[in-house]
Amino acid sequence: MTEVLLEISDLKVSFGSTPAVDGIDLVINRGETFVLLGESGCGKSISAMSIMRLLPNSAKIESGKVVLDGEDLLQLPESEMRQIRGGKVGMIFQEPQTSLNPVMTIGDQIAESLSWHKKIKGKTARGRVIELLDSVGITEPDRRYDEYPHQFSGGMKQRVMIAMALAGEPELLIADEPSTALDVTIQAQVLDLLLKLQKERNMAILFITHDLGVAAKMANHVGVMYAGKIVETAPRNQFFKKPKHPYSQKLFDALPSKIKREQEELNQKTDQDKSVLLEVKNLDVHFPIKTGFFKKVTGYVKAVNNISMTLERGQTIAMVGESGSGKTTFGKGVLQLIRPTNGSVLFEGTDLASLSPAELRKRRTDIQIIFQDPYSSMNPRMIVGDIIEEGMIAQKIGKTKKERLKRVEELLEQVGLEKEHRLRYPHEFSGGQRQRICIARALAVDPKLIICDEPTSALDVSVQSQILTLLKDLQNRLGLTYLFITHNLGVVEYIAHKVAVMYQGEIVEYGDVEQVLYHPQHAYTQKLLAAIPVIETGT
Amino acid sequence: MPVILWTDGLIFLLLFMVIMFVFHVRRHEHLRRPWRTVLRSRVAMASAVILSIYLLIGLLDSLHFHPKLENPKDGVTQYSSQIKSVFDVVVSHLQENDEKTYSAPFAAYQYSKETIEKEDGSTVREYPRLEFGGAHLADPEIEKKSDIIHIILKSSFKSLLVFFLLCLFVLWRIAKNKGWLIRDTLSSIIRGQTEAPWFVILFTLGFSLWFLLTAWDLSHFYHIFGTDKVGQDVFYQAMKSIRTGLIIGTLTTLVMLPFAVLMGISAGYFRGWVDDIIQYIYTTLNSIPGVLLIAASILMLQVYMSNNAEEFTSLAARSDMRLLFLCIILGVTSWTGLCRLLRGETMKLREVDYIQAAQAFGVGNMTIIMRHILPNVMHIILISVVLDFSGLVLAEAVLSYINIGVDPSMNSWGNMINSARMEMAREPIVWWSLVAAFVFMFVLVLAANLFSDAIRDAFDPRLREREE
Repeated sequence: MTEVLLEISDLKVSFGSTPAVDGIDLVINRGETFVLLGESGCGKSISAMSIMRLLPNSAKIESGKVVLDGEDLLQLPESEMRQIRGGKVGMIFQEPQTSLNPVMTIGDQIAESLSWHKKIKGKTARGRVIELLDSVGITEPDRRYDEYPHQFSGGMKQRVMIAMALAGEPELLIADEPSTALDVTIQAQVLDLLLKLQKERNMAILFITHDLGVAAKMANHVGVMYAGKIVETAPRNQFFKKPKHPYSQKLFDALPSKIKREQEELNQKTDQDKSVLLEVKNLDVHFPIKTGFFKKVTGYVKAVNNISMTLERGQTIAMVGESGSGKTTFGKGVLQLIRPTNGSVLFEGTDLASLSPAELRKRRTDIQIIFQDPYSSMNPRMIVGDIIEEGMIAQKIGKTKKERLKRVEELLEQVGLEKEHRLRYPHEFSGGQRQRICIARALAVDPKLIICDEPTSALDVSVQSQILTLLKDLQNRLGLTYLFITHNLGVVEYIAHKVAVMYQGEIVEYGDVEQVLYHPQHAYTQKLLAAIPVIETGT
Repeated sequence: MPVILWTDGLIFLLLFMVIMFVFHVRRHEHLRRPWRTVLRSRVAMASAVILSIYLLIGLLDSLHFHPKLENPKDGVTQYSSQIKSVFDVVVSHLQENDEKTYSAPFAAYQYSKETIEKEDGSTVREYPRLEFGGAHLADPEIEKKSDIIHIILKSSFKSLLVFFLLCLFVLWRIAKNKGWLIRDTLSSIIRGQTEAPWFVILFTLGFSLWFLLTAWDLSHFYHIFGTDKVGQDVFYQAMKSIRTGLIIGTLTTLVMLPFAVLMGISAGYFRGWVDDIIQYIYTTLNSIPGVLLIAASILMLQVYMSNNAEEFTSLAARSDMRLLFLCIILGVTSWTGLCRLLRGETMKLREVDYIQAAQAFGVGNMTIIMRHILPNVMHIILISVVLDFSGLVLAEAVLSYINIGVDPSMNSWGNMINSARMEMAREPIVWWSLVAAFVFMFVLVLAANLFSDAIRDAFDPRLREREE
């Protein structure tokens, strides 16, 4: 049964003089899934693109062989290559949004692929497309054939992409982070679908991901990529039982988990002021839907609906939920970046929601925010020192320029950067370093509460754990309180004291971490927990 | 006695602002980076050389003064009421050597026959000799060709000499700056290994130098672009028109920018009723035909000027006022495009995390606009200003053609083309006014367009991403 389908040997790809893929070898057998695991920038997508020969113009394949079914793809003329793409080899991408043509019905888009590779046209093609849509789990395929991409949700679009890839009846499916942009529950569905289709069609899958959990669920074989090289290849069970390469071990260690937290909590002081810092009462944030020439309000989008919670000093409360559940809006509502429609936000007894803009401006030192995307959260045209100083100037902290400068330098050191970094521009830093600068910026005004809006989800696993450790360390030292917004339950286990699960603008479950994560009461929480791919290291 | 006309003042103000901007850019690495791409582009640098020659002529022509009268009464120095520019002094021979009427380029004889009375009293109809063009020749028929070649050769030699000195100077400067040997510097320039494409710059400079010097030498003996109906040198007119074109192209921007930037950014940033009002203003303004608005206001200005003639002491002041007014009205009608672009970009930016972070710090709205939004939309402003420039130069020509442009007494390419309307209809045809205006305008607009392309390539973030 183990017949070799694809064999890559000594593949080298470079951008100008910098190598992106530095001599990789891998073998994929028929009907098996090979997971290529690695952090961003390690060259895993470039490797996949060079199988399809779809590299950007600036990249060049230096040497190597990509043998599919006995044929070296790198030697084929472009016209034959076009038959391979979408024929023998199908591909699905991370962003289903941008991979579909918005002005063509999805049925026609799949039919296009059919007519090109299988020479099926007209009525038969329609029938075949409907079959395909049915096989990827789209209900009422006959009706949905004539719908446009915008009428589909993210997960549905990814299913359509899979159907399109299947149209050419590929022997190899390349899936480049196909579930990263999706919510956990949707991700679980898409992964299950891929596994089912693989079984039915005896298709090989080259699955690219950075998520160890997803890798554990999908893989037959795992290859770990680091800096353009595959550092370890192993069968799944062996890899997850005992990773050999130090880098693989580091990846496992970086995973935030409860065990890690318990180790760290041993050396933590417990004598803390436990008074209530923030009390949110019946908070509503509704966005009016305006229609017509006179912008009449015809309804409301209830982004946050009747939320109440209390937050004690020095605690971390995690808001968990899928995209669109209103957790970010809630954070911004607390911060008064979006003024709430109803309800009150009592911060140390003062209702922030009822303050005038001028009064509010003075209280801005108390609550700060750290954003998800470290690339867009700093003005690219300011040096780091000015970015950190901005809040101090606005809040009149530090009287002289010299005093502020000293504080900037202190802050940079506090978050693990160097003094001299204040003269550099944001683009000179990596994602993790930028997130550190953002933390320094938030700390500059001595806040009591920091709202962390998915601060680690744009980062690689190893960097993520560093940032989490830093946040925790700062909490211990400065007595900070966090409102931690995330969708990653591993992070919750590591950092939070309490969890609130949000679903469609409301909190459906609230309680201690232990209770919510191990004994969930609400049906949605149970569903959410079940969808998370688990790494069973034991079996 | 120096005179500062309105447009002179404004153009030097603009120049001052540009120089300040350059200093500002030099101090900031992130601002310098895109400009370095422009500096490396060969096309951009060649166009920049051409543009700066135009600019130099335009600026020289913007230094106005009242000349001294030659024979002062009672020993007191008196000034003429006429206004001249420094450029007029430089090319005084062109201004003073008028003919009677049309003459072709490089002609020694007039373009039309005249009845001439001979010494013996008899009259003949023939082409009379020109007073200035080719007047030094005994028999133009035979000598003209060799004379022209002689002058060209002589000035070519002169320009070669100047060019050589210039090259030596540049070479010495680069070698000194980088600490290289002269020989190495030379070879790296020729092989194009220097950061700026010096080979192209020097080549363009050399060619322009040769053209200017030759034209200058020839213009002492001939009308190289012929003369117009009243016998004025066309070459002189075309060069005087440079200032008009430049002023229209740049001052209009100066008028337009505050409107566009202020309105665009506040509409995008504040949203709500501010946005509504600004949107209504520019959609309304956009739906009025621009030409109609321009015609109406120019006519109004004319009425005003003839009612208040005493306020405008000289002809130059009058036509200058009209030019300024044209700039203003062109600016008022053309800010909407940029305003709309800025509104859209600001709307995108205000949702970006760093603006939200600044809001969370309680930073004031004005500070956010000045510190975060304005620098991040600067590339749009710069690109649209440079792209608009050539369009405005062409707009002047069109407007003057339909008589609502600059004052008819003012030298401008539009006026030259306008008068060529009659000349093209006459027999034999007079083509040189049109051609001269066309060539001068074409070179300027082409250089400006090529330069703005390079600017856009360097500054547009979307184009930059594609390269990476």
